[in-house]
Amino acid sequence: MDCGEYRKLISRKVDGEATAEETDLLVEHLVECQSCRRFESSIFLVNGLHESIPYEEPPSSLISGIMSGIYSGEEATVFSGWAKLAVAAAAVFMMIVGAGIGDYLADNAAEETVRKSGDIFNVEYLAVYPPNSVGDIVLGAIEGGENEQE
Amino acid sequence: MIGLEDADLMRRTASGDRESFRLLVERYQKPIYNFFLRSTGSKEDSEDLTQDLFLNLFNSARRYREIASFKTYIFRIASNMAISFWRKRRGKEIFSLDGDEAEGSGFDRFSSGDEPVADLDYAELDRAFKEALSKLPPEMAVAMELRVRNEFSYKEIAEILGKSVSAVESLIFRARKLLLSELRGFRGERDDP
Repeated sequence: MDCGEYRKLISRKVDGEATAEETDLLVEHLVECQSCRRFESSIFLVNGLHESIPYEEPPSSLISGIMSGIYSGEEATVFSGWAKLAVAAAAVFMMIVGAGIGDYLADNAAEETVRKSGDIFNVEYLAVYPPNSVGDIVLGAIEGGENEQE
Repeated sequence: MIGLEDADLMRRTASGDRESFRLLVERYQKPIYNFFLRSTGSKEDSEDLTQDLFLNLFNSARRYREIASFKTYIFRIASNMAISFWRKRRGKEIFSLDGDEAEGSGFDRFSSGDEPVADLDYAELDRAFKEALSKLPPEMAVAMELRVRNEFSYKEIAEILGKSVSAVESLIFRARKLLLSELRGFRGERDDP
């Protein structure tokens, strides 16, 4: 191992990550290598400077800000939950109403056709307007409908 | 409730217990705030980031799974936020990885005197160190904060940063070399007015 490898090992050892075997190897090397000894003391110094940076107390408003943020967030969530429910209910309502109107219109159209068909195939009607073909019957139905509207 | 583990408090939080969450905030607001303070250098930004972190934590409490310890989990979120913040705000101020990291730089130049930094005024050195720390690339600075001030193991830091243990080891070693290199620069300025 060269000094570069030993310096990586020094960094690991300072962090408590070196094994017992690695530590023994390092100690042997440090006895004879002044440069690596200086590196080790520099690492200790840098670590010491880092550790000595004092912890600051967070502002007292921090925790109250977080908790009030949670409360307001929950209100928003509850509101959005109700809003979603209302939208869903409205959508279901519209589907039901829409389906009802559709059915009503469809039923009416069917009834009208049946009624007109009934008129067409009415014996009295046929007596007055004897059809020559199915086409005449259909044409008569349309004309009859138009006449009724008038 | 005070004696409950973090994971228990998180579970209670997930079921809507706000008092449990308050306890978690009380436990972690100081280390998280200081972690951001070291990362941003700004009390206002640290307060905002800490608040954002806890609000997100509360809102995502149901997604919390006990794969890692809660401390690892919360510092993973904080690390991601800090790195993201740094990349947005400080991209141009950090060290270049191309120059100072070259083999033979850093310590060798820093410790060229009889005893490294022994002749420096401590207050000046402290200031220089903080300045050097503030210039570290984001991931290096976060790794150093996690290791030195929050005492995470390399394995835990690897989990937090999503890297291998050897990558974390390398990150921390390179960070130290950069710090020594920067302090060497400080010393040079002082010695050569």
